[in-house]
Amino acid sequence: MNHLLGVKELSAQKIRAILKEAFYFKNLVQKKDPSLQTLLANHVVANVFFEPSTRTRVSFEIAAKKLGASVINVLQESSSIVKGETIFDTLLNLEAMGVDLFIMRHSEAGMPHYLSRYLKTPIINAGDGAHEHPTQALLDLMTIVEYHKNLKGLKVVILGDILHSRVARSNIFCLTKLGVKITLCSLPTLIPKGFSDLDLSISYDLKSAIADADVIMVLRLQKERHEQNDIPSMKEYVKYFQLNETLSFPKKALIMHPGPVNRNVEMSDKLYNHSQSVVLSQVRNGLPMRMALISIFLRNEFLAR
Amino acid sequence: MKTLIKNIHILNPHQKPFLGSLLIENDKIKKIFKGDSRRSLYSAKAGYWNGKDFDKVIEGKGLHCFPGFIDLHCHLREPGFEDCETIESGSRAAAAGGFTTICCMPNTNPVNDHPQVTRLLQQKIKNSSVIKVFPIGAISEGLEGKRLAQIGLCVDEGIIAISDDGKCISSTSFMAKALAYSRQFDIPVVVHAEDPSLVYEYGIHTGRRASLLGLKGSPALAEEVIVARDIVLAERLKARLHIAHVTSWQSVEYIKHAKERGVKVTAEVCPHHLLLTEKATEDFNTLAKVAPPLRSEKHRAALRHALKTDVIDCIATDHAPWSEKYKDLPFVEAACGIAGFETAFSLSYELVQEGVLSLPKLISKLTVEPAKIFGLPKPEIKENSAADLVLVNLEQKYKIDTKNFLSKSKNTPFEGKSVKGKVKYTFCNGQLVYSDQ
Ligand SMILES: [Zn+2]
Repeated sequence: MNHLLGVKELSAQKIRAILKEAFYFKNLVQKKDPSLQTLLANHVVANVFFEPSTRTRVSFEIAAKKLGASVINVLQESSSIVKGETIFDTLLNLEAMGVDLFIMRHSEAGMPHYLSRYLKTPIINAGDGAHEHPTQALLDLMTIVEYHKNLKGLKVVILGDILHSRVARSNIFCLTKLGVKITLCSLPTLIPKGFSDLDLSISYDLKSAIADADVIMVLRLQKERHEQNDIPSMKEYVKYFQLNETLSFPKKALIMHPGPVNRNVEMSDKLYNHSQSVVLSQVRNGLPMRMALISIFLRNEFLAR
Repeated sequence: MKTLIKNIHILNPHQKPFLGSLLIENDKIKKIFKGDSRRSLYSAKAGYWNGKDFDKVIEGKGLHCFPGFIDLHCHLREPGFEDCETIESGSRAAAAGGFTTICCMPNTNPVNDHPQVTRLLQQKIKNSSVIKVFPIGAISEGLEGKRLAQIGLCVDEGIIAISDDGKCISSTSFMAKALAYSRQFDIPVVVHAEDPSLVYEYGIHTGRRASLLGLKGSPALAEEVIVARDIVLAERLKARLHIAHVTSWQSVEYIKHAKERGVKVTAEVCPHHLLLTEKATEDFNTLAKVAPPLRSEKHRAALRHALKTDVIDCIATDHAPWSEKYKDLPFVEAACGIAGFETAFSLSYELVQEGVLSLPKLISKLTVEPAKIFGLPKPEIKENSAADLVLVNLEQKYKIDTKNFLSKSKNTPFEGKSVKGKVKYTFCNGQLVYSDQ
């Protein structure tokens, strides 16, 4: 692996190896293994973020620091789009200064793919537009596996603004490769064109979609969707597509959300704190998953046996 | 200046090919000798067989000779974007593709929306082009779709049609005015049909592949609504409408029905839309980023069928050269367009090899059909007509290699593709303007 640009490029075998590595790191973290502290000493990781995201950036930063790497943050989290050429120059300079790994977030789909063609330093994509967010999908997978050992035939419902969601895409790539049955549930205006050709089901009815779900993955709904006429109002969306306690779903079903959640929009507060909600497990698993990935790229080897 | 071309297969559109030799004198085809050159030249007036009587003799054994190709749609980038192409480099690239007449779009800087710009262009064409170039004028001032350009005055300076190509006129009332006004000069109005309000990102088809890349793209619908609208307008206003680069099967249906009703509508298709699908844009390949975009197999198949059944009249390149500065960028930021002159024939010839078109039909789509649409003289290989000719080796296989491009820009998704049918010589007005060495 030269870069981690997306889950699309990963084989099922590679995904399983990464998963194993992440659990290996989770175990070391729980044991407070002292060897972690020096594993990546003398390595420099650069967080290059052109879109605001404190959570993801901090998760990567803590992961790198726990392995003894130093972290620098290059943040231009403004509303104006930073063009590819400018970013290219920035990264070339950082590469020349000895950065060993880039963690990159940008609002434009394909930005890390463009840069990866010219950089020798590996890039981990921390989200590009509505395209991919591979580390999120991998940590989601880790969370699912902790509750459902057998992925084959598992029914995962992805609910909400699929059109604008990189989390949805990476999860579709990831879970499909492992034999999971996916149902996309949303309004017609929020389902991407052509997704009906994929190996998954599409439902416009929340009640029936979640009735036999093993996992319900709720996506964040951004406020702009109303202005873009994808939905008439938040109120209307909430009425038809909010996941809340009035709905019935199986007792074993996991409720997931990639965060940050819009409280009482895509899911009710009650469900966020529900016993079946694993939202905080997802956040917790972000750490060992990102430690594993950073280690894989900087050491060029898998440690788990 | 006398040139003799011996033993070529001469093919005029809608006629049977025959073996013969051609004598070009100055800018005209002076004489056509039918049959094997040794017989025909001996039996002709004394002296013709004597090589010394000619300034140049080309042994054309195994070559086909067609009237020079005509391209209704190209971008020569001058003035304003000379780092991508100039009239000189563009005309040489076109000649290398077998074209002897090309029509250039007005989206230069400044835009060709004013007689002074047209005059300047004509001057540059006269000084630096190796083939015939006809400028197309803008419909609207600055291609803004708001105020009419100086259409009549530009016609006086030699524009052959009007278009806001690259941009789509979104105002229906403005389009109605433009079509009505065009009748005064009986010129075709060429439309780039792509309703901007339906486009999220230009250059990639709205569909599964774009969706998987996290892009919303440009849907076929954006083309269809404009094609339908402009047909309705042209029908009512009795104007000449030419639909540029058709890409959608539904557009084809609208055009077909309009033609059946007698609407003065014509249409063109580009080689890349006939050969490629959205698959080419996978992995954010900016070389396959083109507007309107490469679409699905269903659309592609419909375009081929429409060309075969004459719903689509002709092939045009939409030669859109861009230097690396515009193409070597993240997908969303890269420019739309494919440099098409130098690959157009070999790519289109695949349709003959696949049995979609006969060879004479393909040649008519590159010569007489486009000539009709823009009212150009009928391209024909006959005595005393202009010596605009292309000689092609239909059997020669080669790999498309942009290193050999005469265009200043190398932006093509066809690099490395194995094709058949190589342009060997191009004559324009009797001058050898390209030879494949
Ligand atoms: Zn166009």
